[in-house]
Amino acid sequence: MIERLQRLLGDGGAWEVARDGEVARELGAPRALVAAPRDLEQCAAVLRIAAEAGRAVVPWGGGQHQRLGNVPRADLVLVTSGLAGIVDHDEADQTIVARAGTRLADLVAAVRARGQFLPLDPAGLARATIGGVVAAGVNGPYRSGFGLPRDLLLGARTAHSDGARAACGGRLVKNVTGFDLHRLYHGSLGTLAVLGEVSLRLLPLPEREATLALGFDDLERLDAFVLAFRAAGLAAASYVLVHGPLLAGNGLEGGAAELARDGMFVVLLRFHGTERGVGESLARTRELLGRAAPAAELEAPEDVQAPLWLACREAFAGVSPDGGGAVLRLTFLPHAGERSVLGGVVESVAALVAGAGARAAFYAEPGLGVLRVLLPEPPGEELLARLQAFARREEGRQLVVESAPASWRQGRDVLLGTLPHAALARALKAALDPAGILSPGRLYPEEPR
Amino acid sequence: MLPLERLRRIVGAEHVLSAPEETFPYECDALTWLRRRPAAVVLPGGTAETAAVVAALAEAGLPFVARGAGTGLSAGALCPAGGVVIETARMKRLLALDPWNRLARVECGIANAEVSRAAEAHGLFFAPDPSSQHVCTIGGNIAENAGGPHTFKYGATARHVLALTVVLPDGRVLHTGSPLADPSGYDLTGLLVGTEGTCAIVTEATLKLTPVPPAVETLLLAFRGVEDACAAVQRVIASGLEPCTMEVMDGATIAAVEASVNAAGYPRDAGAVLILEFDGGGAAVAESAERAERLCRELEVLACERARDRAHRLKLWKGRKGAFGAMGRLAPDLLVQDAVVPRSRLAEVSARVLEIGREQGVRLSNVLHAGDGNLHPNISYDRRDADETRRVLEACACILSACVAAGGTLSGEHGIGLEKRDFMHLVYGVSDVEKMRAVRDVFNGRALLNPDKVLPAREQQTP
Amino acid sequence: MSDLAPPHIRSRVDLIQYGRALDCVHCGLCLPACPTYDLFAREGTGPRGRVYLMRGLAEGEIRPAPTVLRDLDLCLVCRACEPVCPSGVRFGEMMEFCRAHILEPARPPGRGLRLRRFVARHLFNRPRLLHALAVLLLLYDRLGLRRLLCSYGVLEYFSPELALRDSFLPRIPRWSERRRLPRRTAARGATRGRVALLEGCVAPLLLGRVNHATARVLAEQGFEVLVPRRRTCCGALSAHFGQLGAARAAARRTIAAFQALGPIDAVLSNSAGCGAMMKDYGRLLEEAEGASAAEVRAAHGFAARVRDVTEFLADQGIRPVPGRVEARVAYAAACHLAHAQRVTAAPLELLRAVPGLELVPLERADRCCGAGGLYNALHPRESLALLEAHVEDLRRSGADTLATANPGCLLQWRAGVERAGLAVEVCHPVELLDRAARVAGR
Repeated sequence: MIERLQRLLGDGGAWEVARDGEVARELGAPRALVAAPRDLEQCAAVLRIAAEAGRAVVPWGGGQHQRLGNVPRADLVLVTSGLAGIVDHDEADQTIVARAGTRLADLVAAVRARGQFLPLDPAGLARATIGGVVAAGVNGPYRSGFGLPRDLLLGARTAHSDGARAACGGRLVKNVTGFDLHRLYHGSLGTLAVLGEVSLRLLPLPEREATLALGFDDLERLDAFVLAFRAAGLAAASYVLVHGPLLAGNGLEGGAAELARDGMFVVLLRFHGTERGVGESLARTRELLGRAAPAAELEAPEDVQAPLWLACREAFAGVSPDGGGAVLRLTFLPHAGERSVLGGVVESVAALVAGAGARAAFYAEPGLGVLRVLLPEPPGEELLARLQAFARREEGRQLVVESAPASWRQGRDVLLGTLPHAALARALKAALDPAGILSPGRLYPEEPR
Repeated sequence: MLPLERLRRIVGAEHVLSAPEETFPYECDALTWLRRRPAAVVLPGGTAETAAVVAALAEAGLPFVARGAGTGLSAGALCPAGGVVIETARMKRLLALDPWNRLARVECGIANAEVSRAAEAHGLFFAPDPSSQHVCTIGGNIAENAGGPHTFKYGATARHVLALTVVLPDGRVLHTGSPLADPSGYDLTGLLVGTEGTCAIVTEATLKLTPVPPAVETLLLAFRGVEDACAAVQRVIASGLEPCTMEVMDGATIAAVEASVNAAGYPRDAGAVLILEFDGGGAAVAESAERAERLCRELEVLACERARDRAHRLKLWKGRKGAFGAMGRLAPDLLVQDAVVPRSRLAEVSARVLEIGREQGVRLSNVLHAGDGNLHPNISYDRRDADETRRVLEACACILSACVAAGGTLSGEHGIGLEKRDFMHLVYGVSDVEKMRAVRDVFNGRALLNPDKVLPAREQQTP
Repeated sequence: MSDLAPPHIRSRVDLIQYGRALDCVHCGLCLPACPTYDLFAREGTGPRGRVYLMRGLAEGEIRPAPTVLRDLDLCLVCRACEPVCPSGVRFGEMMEFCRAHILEPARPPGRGLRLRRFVARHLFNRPRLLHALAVLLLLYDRLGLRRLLCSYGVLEYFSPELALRDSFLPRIPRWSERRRLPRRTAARGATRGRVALLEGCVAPLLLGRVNHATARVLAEQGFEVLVPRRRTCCGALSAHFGQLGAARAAARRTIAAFQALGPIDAVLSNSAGCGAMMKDYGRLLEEAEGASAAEVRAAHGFAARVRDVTEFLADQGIRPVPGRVEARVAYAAACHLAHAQRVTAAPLELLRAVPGLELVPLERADRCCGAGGLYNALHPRESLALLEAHVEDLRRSGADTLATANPGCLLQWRAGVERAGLAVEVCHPVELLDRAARVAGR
């Protein structure tokens, strides 16, 4: 097959993966080939070749989110780095069209340079591509304020395993022409189509940005704050909870060092807006602190904001610098009547982790009811079983393994049985990936042939 | 054969309409030139009844369509030939309201504004706000991915729907999505929103509620013409301000509104008015409104007025929301066209739209969701006049072509329905539509549910 | 437009009415305002669908089949759809015309129809006959027949339908409350003007207290009150039933009766339905075949002087009300006041003028209570469904008094309150003003 690919893409367009390289590590596929098409037409041609050969294809952007989902069958890795660049940035319309392989960091910077703002900051931002981030359906601390890429996505161009290319949506901010298949591709982890180009909505760059860090060493106080903040109906650009030590060093000096102390849960709030608007949000948030006094408080100075948010965004890397760790994601309804359940959930999970003799850090989005348990090494079977039992104990909770090394995921269902509608999902995959070669098994297990 | 007896047993005899006089008022929605009388109308009382009705119709091999309040403007709820309308008007319960988690679970036939009304006491609202929001149903909003003036800030319906209960065209019930963040698997909820009821019938939905902003400032600006108003819109946006809505009405619309029960006190001598609204914290909103006012005063603004209080604001809005009905007074029928262009092309395309109206000799006025580049040319006509109707349709075709040529598209919020199905080739190629059809067939393989909408027939795909 | 109208539509009036159906652009904004659409959810039971049916009938697209008669008859003609219609469709007039010219001729003949027509054409113009009926009703009540039939569930057992109708039958008050008003009541204190008051046809028999209170309040407020010698019916019920001929005859009699009083500042009514009808006399006679120009002019002149009593007092400025009434009052807007006459603020203003009175909000206060002409007699079950929802709202409001300004609504609410066993007094707003004055010893 490599010959056919090279004929199509040139000698430098297809090669075998390095045995100890990144692809091999992330996908556990040491014998895969790599193809690097340069445009969507070539993408489609690569898919057709693979389909004819019955080889499984895994699209690859920056390789930052390959650990999501189960380990797919991978014979050929389709890297999108050749499909890079901004197609059209329409400033007046606040929209941008970019090829899928464009690095997100480049995109964010280019937009910013022209006074606009793309609120995407997922982990691995530096290397991630926009196509990959859309396919993975992930966002970082900005998620709590601006949602997922889905909420910015206006349209896409795709390549399919029958060799077809297709478009859906467009580059208009309001558009109900045809089916919005891009919402289906979002978060489909490369199992339906290869994204070649996406268009996104942009926002104006905020005039002022402010960050407030509130350190709680008492989970009840934390819950009191979460409740008060929700009742106040304030809108924040970011609203996360991180373990204090993960923030250590990032300019947290003097009294602020207290925030990074062990056992401290830090609520990080970021406000965007006009000069007066941000001042108002800060003031109103401070008013809430009377009833929910934090142990430490800091309005981050200008030069501390960025490092703080970087530490927050890359919290997992902070826990597992070699990437050998795992992230468990527990989702729940954040409130039970007039009560915040976050503190209780954190406490229970922490106890279970400690009981299993493991270590963990926490990263949560209090407004959304998402708690990530960051483990320096993959969970033992017993811990996993206990956490699953905890999640099942009450309705409206879900636990999945969000990320773990391929070696650990191999042969498991990391989604822990949470996938619904298997038959319908398979039919959708068959409709959009007729050859059944795109990341097979990543979401739904492959049917026995 | 219509399984009338079986349908009556499922929903009760009084909820099955089959006499021609009874089904007559269901022959069209708010787009009145397209009419088709259903063979029967069934009004189920809930998900289970809907599923049973669908199963009965599927077994009988009859086509059917779900219909909400019939306020659609693209003939999306038009009955397939020889088919049955499944009307959701009885399914209008608010099933649960969870103010702390900002969720509402509703039946699909509840009116959009009823959701906000129920949430109001908790300081919350449902953000999508179509002009027909007091009437149009959540089910219809989901089918069309409806928007409204405030879509500019808050986004259309797709951003506010978390989970669905749907009845598939074979009568099976499917639950998609979750009120929890990040449910596993494909985003079927996101996929189904906007498929115009061609894949499944939504019977229940879990909606995301939004906190009511503590402060709102509404500005009414009058201009010599639409071009100046659009320039002001561009100016405001370029300055980095973030209004929650920017609505432009042209002179003909102003005249019609001021002559109607919804007279809002718009200056009658203006060629266009712009309603500019900011919401959020009190200080931020006041600051934004002041800045916008200053910016607009640098342009050629004829008058600038700030809503004094809630009553004044509601009055300004009442004129906008009643604009279509007011246009309706001018002739027996009204066609509300809907198209989108890049915001930067709005002024130019609006002028072209008026020109098309003159060329075709039709009475035309224009309302714009200017922030979104969304045009609503309103054409007053009399459907009994065959020649006038032909000219109206010709004008519509010209308008759509002009919008697409300017980088725009066929619809921003009304949907494709039957009205624009055969214009889809202007925007999408054959393979684009094939993928959409492949997805539709996964749900609706026999094409019994709403068969002839949105996607053009294969043979009509190329111009 | 005329050359596009169907060929069988010829007369000027036909054309006007047909043209009104064309005002509707099918937007549906009326639907949430319609009580019967809320109840039945059928297109034909909402204003948009009814207009569509009427247009279909006019254009010959459909026949006046039984289902059409059913859905159009289910309309309360509360006209709540009119203020919300952005196209200004005059639904009430259309419905009246349609009943008269399309539905009436299409009704299946029989005893029911003969009775219906007799009631609609004649009953309310026959004070003596009305009185005789009242006496029969009184006997039914006082001789214990009603108790026998109802308290022990006898009627319920034999005919739930009849039992339901029975619960809507009004109580006939004692004789002293059935006295007619004096032909002239002098103003108290400085005289502010001279007004004429319509007593009504049924009201003197059933709600004499309201009439007497109205006259006393007007006098207390400084107005001399005249009452025509002859008691006349305004014709509203006839019009409601599509008997436009009878309605016009009633209009002519009423105009003549008031003209006989000499110069007056205003013609007042404490009945929203009658006020709405009288304000519409100009149009009613204009559309009559063979009405003279002078007659039409006189009718317009008369109509221009008609005011609801609450509207009139609020316009003139309410003099400080003496005395005090400690009550928690919910106000329910009568449809023909709020939607037909568009008088919404005045009754509340009157109530606020009563010292000690606390106004409590009532959910859906501008929704029809189900009285709708004789709706409760013709459609008792539907009427009850509408009423019960309101009574539940009333219970939740915590009010001890319900004020509404129309005889039909007063009787309907009383029936509802009684059925639900609520300790709530139902009265006209002017009765509360009157009570305050009497507490003060006036």
